[in-house]
Amino acid sequence: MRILLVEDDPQLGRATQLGLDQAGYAVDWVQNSEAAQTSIKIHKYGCILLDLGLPKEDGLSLLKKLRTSGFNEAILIVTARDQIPDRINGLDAGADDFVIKPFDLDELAARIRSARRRLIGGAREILKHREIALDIAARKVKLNDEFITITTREFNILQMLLEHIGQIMTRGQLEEALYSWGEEIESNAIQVHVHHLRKKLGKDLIRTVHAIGYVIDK
Amino acid sequence: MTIILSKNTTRWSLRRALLTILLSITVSVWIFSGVIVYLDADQESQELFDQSLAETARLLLTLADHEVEERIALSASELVESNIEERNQYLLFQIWDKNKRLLYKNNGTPDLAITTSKLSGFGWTNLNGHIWRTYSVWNSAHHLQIQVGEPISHRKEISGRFAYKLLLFAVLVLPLMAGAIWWSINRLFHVLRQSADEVAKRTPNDLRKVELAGAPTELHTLLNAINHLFERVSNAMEQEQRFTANASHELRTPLAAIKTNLQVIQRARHNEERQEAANGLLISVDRATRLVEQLLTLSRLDPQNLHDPKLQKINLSTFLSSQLNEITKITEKNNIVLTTNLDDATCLLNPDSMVILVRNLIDNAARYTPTGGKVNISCGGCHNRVFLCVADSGPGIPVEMREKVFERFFRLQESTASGSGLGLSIVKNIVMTHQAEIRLSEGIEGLGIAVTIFLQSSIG
Repeated sequence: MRILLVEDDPQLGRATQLGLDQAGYAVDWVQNSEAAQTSIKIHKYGCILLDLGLPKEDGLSLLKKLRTSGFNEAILIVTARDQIPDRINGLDAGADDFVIKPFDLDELAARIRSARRRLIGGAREILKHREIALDIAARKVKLNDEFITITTREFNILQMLLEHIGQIMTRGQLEEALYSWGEEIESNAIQVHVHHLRKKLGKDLIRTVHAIGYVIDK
Repeated sequence: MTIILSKNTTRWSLRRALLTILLSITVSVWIFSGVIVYLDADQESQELFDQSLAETARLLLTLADHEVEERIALSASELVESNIEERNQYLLFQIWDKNKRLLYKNNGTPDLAITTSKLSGFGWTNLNGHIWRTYSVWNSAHHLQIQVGEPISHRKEISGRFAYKLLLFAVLVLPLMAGAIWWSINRLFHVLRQSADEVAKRTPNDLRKVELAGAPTELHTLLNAINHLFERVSNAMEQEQRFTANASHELRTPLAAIKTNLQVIQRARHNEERQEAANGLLISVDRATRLVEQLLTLSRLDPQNLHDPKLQKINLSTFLSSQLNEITKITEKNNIVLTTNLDDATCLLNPDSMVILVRNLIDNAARYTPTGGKVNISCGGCHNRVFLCVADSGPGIPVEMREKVFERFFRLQESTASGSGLGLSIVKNIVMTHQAEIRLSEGIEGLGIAVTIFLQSSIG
């Protein structure tokens, strides 16, 4: 899943980007609300992490704008303002959750997952399909009740396909969800990851739709 | 009255003082009027008794006149022994002729003249150890004189009874009156108590205004003063709370950066990542440190303490020259061209806080002026005052924002540099403790901002 981080502090912004990248998310980082609005037009984000104290236009105003413009994915406020009225304002303006600085990276990741879960509907912590079980929180995959080793990118592709069973995911969509800006993507990267997944989980699981993308059939 | 006027610190009670004063005034007035009434009654009764004594004397004289004419031949002793029965034997009388012979007297009257005075009228005499009121008068033919005497005890008994009644009345009524005074004072002071209770039961956070309705107008001055104090305290508290809240979230961001960088280091996948996070960590710690330093500086510079006792006469140009080393360190680090125009000028300053002021101004100028920009420091005399000016060629401060930049944690929206937002607040507080003036104007060549401080050249 691709995440947009809106944070004006250079050190915190970069560290959060790195930390979430380590946790397997593709993170784009911008420092003001103008850049955030531009990014949203270009990419599809599963989650936005929003700082409230931004220069020029503050986070709350950006949040309201995003929600009125029909952005329906998860938005988490990450802020130093911990007063109850701030939280209420944030949640009322359409935030899914409120994370107070300083935060724990694991907790941040968990909150992102939980916000996503609520969005998709149902508290699906484990995605099951035939003999495969994908544990989103633990980032582990079981095949016939046995853990298999799986890389972050493979996991992300599998998760995306399982979350959209029956729908074709284009190569572009998968790349979007996997890589943030500036990361080098080799032209056959997705193909290679899918190849590895098939090796680990069986040939029939992921079906290639020629010239479009991949799908896990119902 | 000395109780009320005394300004010493001993405890005294308004209620007790009022009670004492009212009671003593009442008792005094009672005693005074009692004495006046008694004396007046005494006087009146004297006159009445005197009048009746004189009338009795004249009546007796007329009777005696007839008697004498009818029995002119009788001897004196006969005359004297003749009895006029007196039932209420308290009056003494003697009838004398012009040859000083005693013609008549009643029982119990001594033979000696009651009064020796030759003149007619009232007098006092002492008989058998008792004081008597006397009256003597001659008949119209001037050959008979009557002398009457009446014991004073009779009169004193009357005025004594009067005094007794007055005293009885006082004894019965005064306690009632004292009780009434005590009760009404207590009633009135109960209102005071209520107002006091309303203030007393307040918690430190409850700084609502005290209700004036129901309190007597005399209390309004005090209650208004309390309300004003409450308002000032609550403003100060609000400001303090805002400051603490601001300080805490200004600190939260660098702390968050520190924590996140640390966690990134723990999970680093390769050395470069570890290195990058370590750098971020270092910068964030520096930022937090600087913020804490600024906060401490600000709290030390209490603007309430308007008179800085450490002000000394110092040559500002010498002082600034001694700081140039530190100043150039800052400007060189930011690649900024520093120029100076330092004229000799002596002013009152506290070197410790002035170092902080200059450093903050230079820091700001260097922070916001782009690389290759200019910063100028100047000082000199100006209309009996001494100025210190730091000008830069940075982005400047819009005119409408120039008041706001002195507020704590205020940062211009457009600013990209990471300041604490405390620098100019610190500068302003130092300016206040120097009783100096600060002005913002255009900086170098119409660019940037110039901060000018006008310092006092001498005391007063």
